[in-house]
Amino acid sequence: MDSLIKITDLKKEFVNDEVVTKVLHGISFEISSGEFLAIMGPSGSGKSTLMHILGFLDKLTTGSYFFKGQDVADLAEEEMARIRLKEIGFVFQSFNLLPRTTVLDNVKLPLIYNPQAKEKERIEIATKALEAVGLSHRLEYSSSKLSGGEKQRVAIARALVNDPDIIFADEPTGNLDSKSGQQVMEVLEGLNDKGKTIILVTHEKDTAEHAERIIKLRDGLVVSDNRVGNRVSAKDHKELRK
Amino acid sequence: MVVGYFSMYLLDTYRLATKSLSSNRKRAALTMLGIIIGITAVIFIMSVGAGAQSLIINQIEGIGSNLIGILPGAADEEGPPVSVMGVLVTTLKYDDAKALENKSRLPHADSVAVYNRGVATVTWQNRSVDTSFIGTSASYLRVEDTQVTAGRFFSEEEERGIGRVAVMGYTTKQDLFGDHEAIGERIKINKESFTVIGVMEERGASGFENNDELILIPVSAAQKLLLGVNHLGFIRVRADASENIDQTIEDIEIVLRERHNIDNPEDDDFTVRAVAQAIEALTLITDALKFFLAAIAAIALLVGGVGIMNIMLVSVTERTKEIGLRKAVGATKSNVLTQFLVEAVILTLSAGVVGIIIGSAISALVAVVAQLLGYNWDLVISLQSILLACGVCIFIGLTFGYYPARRAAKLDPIEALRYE
Repeated sequence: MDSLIKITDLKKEFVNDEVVTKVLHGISFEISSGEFLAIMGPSGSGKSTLMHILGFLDKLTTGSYFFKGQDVADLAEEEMARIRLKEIGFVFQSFNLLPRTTVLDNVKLPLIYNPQAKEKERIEIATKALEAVGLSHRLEYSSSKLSGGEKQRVAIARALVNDPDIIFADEPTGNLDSKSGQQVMEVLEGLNDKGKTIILVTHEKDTAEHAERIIKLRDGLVVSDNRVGNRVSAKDHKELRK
Repeated sequence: MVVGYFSMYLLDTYRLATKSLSSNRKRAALTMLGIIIGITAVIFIMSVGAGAQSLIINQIEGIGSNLIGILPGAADEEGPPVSVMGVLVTTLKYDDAKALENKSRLPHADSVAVYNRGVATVTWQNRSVDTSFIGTSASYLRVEDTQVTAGRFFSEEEERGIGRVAVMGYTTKQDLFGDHEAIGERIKINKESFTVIGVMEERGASGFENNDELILIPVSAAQKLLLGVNHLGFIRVRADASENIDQTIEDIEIVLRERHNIDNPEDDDFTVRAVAQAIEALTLITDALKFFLAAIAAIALLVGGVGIMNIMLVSVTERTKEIGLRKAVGATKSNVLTQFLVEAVILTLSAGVVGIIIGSAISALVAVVAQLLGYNWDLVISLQSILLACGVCIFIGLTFGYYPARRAAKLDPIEALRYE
């Protein structure tokens, strides 16, 4: 499997009015394409900050970051936006759908910033993405009328439309009940089966158990990095609960 | 291909912008109000201004643009002589006018007519009408380019010889005689007897005068019988062609200075003006007025623009999370900037269109009312003013939308997504 992400001694500090806050103190690891990875840690461990940097929403302070073999540690904003558009899909804890907008239009959003597709194609792509998450019957619904689980699945569909290689999910089940949470994790697993790299950030053990590899952070440093062998699939989870 | 990409990008941004705007229609409408009022005012001012301008010019052109007016009394550069204001100046005489008929001195003067004006009570049998009269020459018809519809105009003998003959204006004839035949009837003008010999064609208003509400009598009769004067009110000369107007004006001035023993043009006791000049001067004045008023309307637009900026700033703040999301999924700074700029321009341009429609409607209303009142009012809604209005709207949208759009574009996606 190819090296997708390689970070070495990555450090991040925030400067606010001359007050320096060090959040990440030197993190190194490598992620290959097709992995299902969970980054765990308590509140304040820096996992969100790490995800933002890996997801090109923020830049590291020192260290190196190689993405698909290219040095991306110091890119211009426009380039970072382009990578976010084409290479990465984001799923957030609070869904972040556009209010007063239909499901279809929500999912189409990243396509609008991708000039290659025409409107007809966009509708096709968005519809397919919604089929992949099992929501093709909800195309014209207003996003505010959906349940939490449905909203998150719409968010996943949105993350898929530009066919990115990586999906970043920040506490994707945090605002969901356990049943919806299961559904969402099933969807993510299905995507991983199809070859997408999934990077999950969570503090919930149950959610992390769906991954094949767990990196634990504490106080801005990696404290463990373990493969958990074949991941516990969502279906198995249901069985275990019984 | 670049054009295709760019135009699709604009189309997308347009769709995006309209969607965002339509999701909060009330606010959009209120924001637009200032611009709507401003543009309505601009269109209305320019249209009514142009209408008033064309009304005035139509009036003056009614006199005929080859006409040259000679008034008693001096005047500075472009202003009117004092005689227009009512000051009595008695320096123009009948013989002056006759001298101007000399073809060897004034080869391009086609015809000359004299004028003495006054008001009188005209009586016929037991009816009476107050009307204005003009004591004039037999050449009146030629100079004024008009004709009688019944009877005849007076002759040169009658012009000179205190002929007690009168030609009635169209409306005065109606007022006094109704449908009764007027030719041959005896009337009294301020107790003096006259016989009606002709009736004028209907002419309408021109030069601020109503040409149908008057009586025309020989100048000698007017001067001796009614006014008791021996000076003229004014003289009109018709040039044979518009290119000869300037030459004829010069010729007139030379002859009159000779007759009045004037060596220095600054001592002229008369004023010679071509009607065309008056039109030019008026056009300049009314143009200036129009643009001045439009400038005031522009101030209203500026205020409207500030309103747009305010509302857009509020909108950007309210949509912070949304902007953060757009950036997270891959919108660049310029994507966001363009989106908000387009939203601002859509707001202002739509407001402009509404303003243009309302302004045009009000102007049309004014035109209809003016025409009903008998004024020769043209409804003028020029393409120029519409394009100007649209251009102004786009400019305001871009200018006052820029600051909010920049604020939106500069938002940090992470912080924006956290915003509550």
